[in-house]
Amino acid sequence: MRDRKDTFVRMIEARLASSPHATLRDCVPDMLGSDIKQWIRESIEGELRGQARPSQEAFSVLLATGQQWQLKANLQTTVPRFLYTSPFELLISPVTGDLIVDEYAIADADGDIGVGTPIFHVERHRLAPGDVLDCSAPGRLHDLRVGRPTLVAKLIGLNREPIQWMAERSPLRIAQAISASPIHSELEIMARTLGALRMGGADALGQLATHESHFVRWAAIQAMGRVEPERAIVLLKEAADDAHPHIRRSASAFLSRMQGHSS
Amino acid sequence: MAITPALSNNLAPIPLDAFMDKAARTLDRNDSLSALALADDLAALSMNETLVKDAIEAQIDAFLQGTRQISYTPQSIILGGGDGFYVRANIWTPPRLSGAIKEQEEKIFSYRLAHDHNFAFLTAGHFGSGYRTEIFDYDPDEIIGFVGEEVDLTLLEHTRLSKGKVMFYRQRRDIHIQHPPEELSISLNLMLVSRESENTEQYFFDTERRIISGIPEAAYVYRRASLATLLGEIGDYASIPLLEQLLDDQPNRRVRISAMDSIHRLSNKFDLSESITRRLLHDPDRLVSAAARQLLDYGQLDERLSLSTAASVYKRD
Repeated sequence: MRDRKDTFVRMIEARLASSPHATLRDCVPDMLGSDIKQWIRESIEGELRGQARPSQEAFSVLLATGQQWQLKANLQTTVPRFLYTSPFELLISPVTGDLIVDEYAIADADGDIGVGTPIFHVERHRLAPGDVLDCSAPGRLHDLRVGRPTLVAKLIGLNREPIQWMAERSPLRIAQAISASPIHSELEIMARTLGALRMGGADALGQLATHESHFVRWAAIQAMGRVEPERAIVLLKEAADDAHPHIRRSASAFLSRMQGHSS
Repeated sequence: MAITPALSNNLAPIPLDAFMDKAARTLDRNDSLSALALADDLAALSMNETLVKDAIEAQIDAFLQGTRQISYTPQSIILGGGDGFYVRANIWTPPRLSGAIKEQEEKIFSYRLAHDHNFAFLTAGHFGSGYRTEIFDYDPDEIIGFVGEEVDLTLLEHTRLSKGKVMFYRQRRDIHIQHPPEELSISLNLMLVSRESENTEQYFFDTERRIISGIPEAAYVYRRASLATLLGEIGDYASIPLLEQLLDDQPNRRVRISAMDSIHRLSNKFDLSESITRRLLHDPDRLVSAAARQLLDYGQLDERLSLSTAASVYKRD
């Protein structure tokens, strides 16, 4: 059985390496033919015998990892309060029971999405154990509904969106943007902390001001305003041409207010 | 009660390595109160104004170089560790959101959630006005451990972990509710770790109804038990010997209950006898014997004993 899991790992790696455009969606046939239930059993037994690294989450077990993906299974017990987009590629497959998945889409997903943007119901998927659903499409939200606690396998790829959108169920609309990467969240908190401390750290903040995440960039610029205000002005002027519209708007508004005060 | 030690006058800032050396020499793994001898030292460490700034700069650099992994809680920065202890800085931020989303945000910091700890720790206010907290006392030996069970709580104090203040939280006995600070605040924690704490219960409480109201599923004591529960969901006949071994060998009562629950479910599935569950009716642990009674009478654990139900109460999205 170990051999079959190793074969699965090699197959997924080979598929993803086969083309620069390969995605986890190409791995659906491999997931359909796999014996995930047996792997879950083996992984749990290994951990309970103390032969594997302890899980970081309750009711969850890590089955396999590759260069750009991981396969895990967790017990789906509750329906989340909010709906979420998936910032990474994601294939799901129920293991121990049926699963209903309601799919929603963000209205005008190619436009300027923000708090209040409506979402709408697209389709209801009914999955039996072993079925696989691709939840990777950008701008889509998938609501996993279980009648009883159900183990669900998830093949998860790398983050490909900087933001995860969180939506209210009633009314159906976007409620919040969340940094998709926990690392970005940590860096944002660190930047805010350096700003609050006012003890230095300008060079670190300068590095974060060019970070790929606009959440981190904006937190760094704001913090710089408290650590080295002159350097913050330079960053704000650069941010007026930032790639992200929210930063461009906020930086321009701040610079305009500052000019108003000085004139 | 949570102990607020008196501190010496004329304390001066000390570097982290001096604190770590003293902690390694002072702490007694078998006596958590030995941490109290480090109250002055933690206060002196908290006076080190560049401590957290330096740590953050180093961690940002490590993140950007790709040599640092994410931490389990984004608001914690591990500063260093030794045999049986580690030191971390906790960053407490005021919630920025509102409404139902604020509730989710507050769960990340465990704000407004009364909880005890299955470890003891010494803490000091390092920066900012600090979080406000209400502290209650209870006797863990007087409870069984059901969700919904009444607890004799005694309110000890309303206080604030302000800059320079040092407090010692006793393992299990001290329950506290943390309220969000008005401004970003930082505390330093000297955490005492032991194998015992891996098997020690931790609860959420409803202090108005004076009951145990749930469990933090992220605690190791429950994470391991959750796997034994899952094995009952997905296991087969061959899984039963391992579950029996857990039942007999484990000091962790939640693992034992989960193992018994899984054995019971698998026994029903394979039409085996319920002899193991019957044997546990006489277990000296009252929570285990109550679980055996429920399984025999109703075939499943109810919300007072079911691990997945108890863990769901405070589950974040």
